[in-house]
Amino acid sequence: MHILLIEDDDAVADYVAVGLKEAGHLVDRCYDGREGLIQATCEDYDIIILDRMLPSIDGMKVLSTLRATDDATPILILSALGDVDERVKGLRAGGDDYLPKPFMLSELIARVEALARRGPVASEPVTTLRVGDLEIDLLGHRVTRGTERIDLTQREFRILEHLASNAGRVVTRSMLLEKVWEYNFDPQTNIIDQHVSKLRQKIDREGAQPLIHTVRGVGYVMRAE
Amino acid sequence: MKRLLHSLSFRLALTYVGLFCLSVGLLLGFYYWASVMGPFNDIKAEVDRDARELARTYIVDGEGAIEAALEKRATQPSLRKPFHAFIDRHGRVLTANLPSWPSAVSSEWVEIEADVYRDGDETDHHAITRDRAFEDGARLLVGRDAEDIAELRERLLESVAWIFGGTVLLGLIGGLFMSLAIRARIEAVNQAARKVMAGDLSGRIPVRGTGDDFDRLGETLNHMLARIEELFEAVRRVSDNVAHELRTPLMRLMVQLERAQLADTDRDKRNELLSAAIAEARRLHRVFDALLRIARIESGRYQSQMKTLDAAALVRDVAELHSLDAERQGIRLEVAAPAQLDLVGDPDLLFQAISNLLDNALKYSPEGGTVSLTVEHTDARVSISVADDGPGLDEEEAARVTERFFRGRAGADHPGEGLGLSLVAAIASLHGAELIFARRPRGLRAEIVFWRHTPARGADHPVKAGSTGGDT
Repeated sequence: MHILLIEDDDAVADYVAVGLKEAGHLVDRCYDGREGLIQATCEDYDIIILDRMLPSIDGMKVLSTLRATDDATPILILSALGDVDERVKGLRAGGDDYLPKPFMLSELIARVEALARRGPVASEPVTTLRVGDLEIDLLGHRVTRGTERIDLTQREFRILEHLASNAGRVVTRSMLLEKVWEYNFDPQTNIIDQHVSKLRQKIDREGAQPLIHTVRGVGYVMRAE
Repeated sequence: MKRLLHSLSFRLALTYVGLFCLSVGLLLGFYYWASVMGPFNDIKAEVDRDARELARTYIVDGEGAIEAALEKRATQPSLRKPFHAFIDRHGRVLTANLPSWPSAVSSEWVEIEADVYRDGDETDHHAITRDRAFEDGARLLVGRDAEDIAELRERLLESVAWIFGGTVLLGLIGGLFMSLAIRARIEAVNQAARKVMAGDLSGRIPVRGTGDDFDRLGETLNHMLARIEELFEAVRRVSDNVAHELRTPLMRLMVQLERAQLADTDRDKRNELLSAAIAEARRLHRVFDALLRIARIESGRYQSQMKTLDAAALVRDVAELHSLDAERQGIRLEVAAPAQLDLVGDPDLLFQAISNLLDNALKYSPEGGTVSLTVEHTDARVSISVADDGPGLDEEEAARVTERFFRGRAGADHPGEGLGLSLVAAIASLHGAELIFARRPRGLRAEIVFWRHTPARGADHPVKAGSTGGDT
């Protein structure tokens, strides 16, 4: 993927750029808002990673300018302002995702890849998701594994839907939290893990090929090996 | 003096003196017009009438007739003593009871002092006189006494200076006192402000207790200072605590990293230590986030997304989130809530607050216990409560439980940073709600009480409030 990274802090930019390159992406770097804005309009990027506080032109201004010129490139906002209200502000201004600093590189990469898949092009509406022998009927809310029908609670269904629609890509705990529970909050304990493991008990029965995998310290990935 | 002129109160006093002088002037003017000008004009009209009649007598009937008429007029009893002088065409005085008159004929009114001496007594007279020359060279002066009015006029004009002088003087003295008094009160405010500026936040403006304007201003400013001091104190306490509380996790982090460095030959061991170090760093991050968040909510910088939400659904969502936790620990989780209940609030924050309360309840309840989440409402209030079978809180703990990093006796065996309830208290306060901890026969009941229809209540509610309630 071709990624534009607009970040004024050298250390953070290095860390992010190296990490993304190691994950197999092509990264262009800009160090201030003006430069970033020019670069973003000159070239076609799959994703823009934008720091909120930048010299010359503020990140939020870069964002609103891009959106005002009908540039729909997915934008991930990085910010030291991490609270929920700031996040809401960033997303309302047209950001596609918001990642507060400090963040783990694995979290950033997972989010970048999830964003890129969403992409600027609207794909056809999907009604059925398949991972291995698991089939998820999104309209009928029916899940079958092989020939066996699996009963899920609404929440479990939404977790599964989110994991399956990102099959092959890592979904972090905080991503699950944002997408499946519609509240922005900080769970005090490993509640998300409990919900995923409950789901896993139902999906990956003993003897069956496991579909939901834990990525240690990061989150989960769904795939048929 | 220059400072005095710059003082607003003195300038106001000067303006006031000016206005007062103007009103005194108007009053005196009216009085003068009514008691001096009026009678004078009446007399002049009478004198004019006399003069016209006498002139006609002279022109028609001649010298003898006017002499007789004048002498008759002089002896007639009258309220205002008549005066006259007639000089014939040869320049001889034919008849006169005026002691003197100007040598030249005047077309204006002539006022002549015509004091009369009789039997050694002096009677003061002030004649207002019409002077008239005839074509043949004769001259007639006719007048009447206006001594009383002239005297009144004189006294009035004399006292004008005194009245204005007195008004200005009293006004200036009053203004000076007023401005000094006001300056003293303002100076007290200034001094308190300087004390605060110098860093002593306990400085307060003296209040006299009379409830006057300055007292009210002082009270408002004192409230402001108290609030600032409270916030400042909170900030200081937090920063002290933060520095102290972060030592331990930082220590662990350093140790883990150091040991990982030493274990470079044992790959598994090293990975394990590094994972532990990352987990430790994440925990630190979460503590920082929680601290920042509490501080932002408390200081009012958090931009809450207040809207009407369904409190019952929100509580059920929280319960659902924690249901697995309860199940795992063998705790029964009961939810009692109406089908739907509207409440104005920030959904993210309320979810966080109730989630924190439920998390605590689950943490402290014994296996086989029951945790109940209850939503109740009346017209005036909405109450969301979480009750558990845990060890509860004693009075001292209940009073301190919302302090940052505070952990009760029972908390020692459980993981946590002691920030959960601080956040709940801050969120409750933001909603103008009260957070009440009540002891139960067994366990603890934490309740958030929201007041309906009175969203303003939150405004004059101190942020720290909503912390502890009685243990009824």
